[in-house]
Formats: sequence, structure tokens, C-alpha cells
Amino acid sequence: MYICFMNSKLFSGTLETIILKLLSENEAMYGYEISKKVEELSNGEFKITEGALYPSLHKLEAKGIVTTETQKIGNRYRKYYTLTKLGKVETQYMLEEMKQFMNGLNLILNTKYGTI
Amino acid sequence: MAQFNKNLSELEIEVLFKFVKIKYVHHHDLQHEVVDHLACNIEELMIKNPQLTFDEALQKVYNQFPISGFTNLVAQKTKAMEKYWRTRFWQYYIGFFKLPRVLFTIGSVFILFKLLSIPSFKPYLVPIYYILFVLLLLPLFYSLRKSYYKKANQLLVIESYFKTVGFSLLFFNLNFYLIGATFKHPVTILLFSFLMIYSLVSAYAQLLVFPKMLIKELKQNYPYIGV
Repeated sequence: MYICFMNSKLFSGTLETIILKLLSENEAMYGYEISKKVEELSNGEFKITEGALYPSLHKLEAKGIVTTETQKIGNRYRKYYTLTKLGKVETQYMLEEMKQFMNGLNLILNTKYGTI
Repeated sequence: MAQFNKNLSELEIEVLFKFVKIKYVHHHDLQHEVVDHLACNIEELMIKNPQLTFDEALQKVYNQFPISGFTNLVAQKTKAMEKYWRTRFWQYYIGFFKLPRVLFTIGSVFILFKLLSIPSFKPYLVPIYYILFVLLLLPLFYSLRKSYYKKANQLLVIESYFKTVGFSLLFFNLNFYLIGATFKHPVTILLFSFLMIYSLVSAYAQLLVFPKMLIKELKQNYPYIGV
């Protein structure tokens, strides 16, 4: 299964949570590294398109949830994203909300009508 | 942080900059961001398949973008940058309504209200206001001479800053019209005092505080500008 977040309404609400979860476990990450990490952790099941990843990162930056720092790596500049203090709190909240949502969804999907 | 072992040459990076420019990414700061992403992706493809040429890898990577290319990315980034500055500016303004700065706000409004209630003070108001305005404008003229301000249309961070910061100077302009009017009712005088203080605070912020914010931002995130 190859899920492209850009075209999937089902996953559109989870992208920011995934990014925040990854950033909470790593000191700083750059855009391409995030997309590769998602692919790796999901065994290639999920792929975040660039068209979805960067707008999400930019939105998180605008909200003050992530902060950026640019470093020179070889012959080019790279932008690293880190969680802010607000971002760390927001991540906990979003992860908790996601768990509750998944529990609720599981209950609905495992009804007497059988597995969907 | 993961690192990939194949590094593109200076020439190939230059090709990428030209490529993104052709694809309508005009701002230098956004070009750097897109180029790094393309470069990482190309390097990975070339490691996986050493037979692949740079041009083929580039085309393969670009094909992963939607049919509109980088257009959506540019639009979203522009929107996000404007929101970023708006949020930072408002956070600063809101500070004047929170402790401890709210005491300064209330005190200033009260003093001005008292002064405006004295009829003989009115002739001094216009010159004082203009002198304050000129004093606040001086640092702006000085800072505008800095070279990075001249790059405003080349950098999204500066372009979005000016788009957002320029908007609230409206309050200051409004006062130029109101300052000549005569207010007699205490509530009107109080409202006018508040507007005057707010406009002075916003002018102070826009002309002295926010430029420092911009410089800090440029130093931290845009080292290639050379601030």
C-alpha cells in the first residue's frame, strides 16, 4: 500500500501529529529527513509528498510550534526544524488526542457488523 | 541526523538553483529550501541506482511533485510567512495589555487624558506629536540604508515582513487627521488618548522593535544573506 498524504483526506489531519511526534524524538530534523523517516518507520506504507510536508512545516513554524535554524552542509544550506516550548506541550496534547481518536475508531470498526 | 553519502557538486547545485528559478521559485530563501530537498532526493536516487545521470534523477524527483510543480509550495510558504510575522507582531502588542507593560499603557493613557483635558495644552499637542513621529522615523531611514533591506523582493522573509508590518501604520496616519479635531466630551478624550498611545506604541514597535526581530531572524535562519 502506498499512501500519498496529498491525495488522502483520511490522513490529512494526522500529518502534523506525525511530524511533531518525530520532532519530539529527535533534537532537530530537516524536511527530507522527516519524509524518509516516515517511510522507514511505516515500512514503506506511508509516503509524505513534498507538496504536503513543507506546507505543514511552514504552518507549524507560523504557529510558533516549531522553530528553524539554517546550517551550511557541504555546498548548500539546510533548514533544521526543532520543537519550541509551546510545540512540546502541543505535541503531548495532539498525541493524546490522536490516541483517543484511534481508540474510538477501533470501537466503531469492531462492532457486531464485523470488521470493515 | 541522517546523512547521505553521495554529494552533488557545486555545478549540479547551481543547475538546481536555475531549475527552481525556471519553475517559478523566485525568492532566494525558498530556493535554498527547495534545492536542498531536491539535492537530498537526487543523491539518494543516484546511490540506489549509480547508472542514473543527474538530469534523469532530477526529472524523476520533479515528477513526484504535483502537476503544478512548486506553485502550491510557494503559495503556502508565502501565506505561512505572513502569518508568522503577524503572530509575532500581535504577541508583542498583546504584551502592552499584560503585566507589567499594561501599567505603562494605563499610566500613559491617563497622563495624556489629563493633559488633553487642559484646554491650554492643545496647541502643544500637534508639535509634540510631529516631533515624536520624526524621532521614531529617523532610525527607520538609517536602517533602510542596510543592504539586506534592498533585497526585499528577493527574499520572502523580508517581503512578507514588510507586507505585514506596513499595515498597522494606518493607525498612526489616522491620528494625523484626528489630531486637528477638538474633543470636549471626557469619553471622546479618553478614546483619543488611548488611540494616541496605541499609535505611538505601534510606531515604536514597527520602527524600532520589529526591525530588530527581523535582523535576529535573518542572522539565525538566513546566513547566506550575510547580515
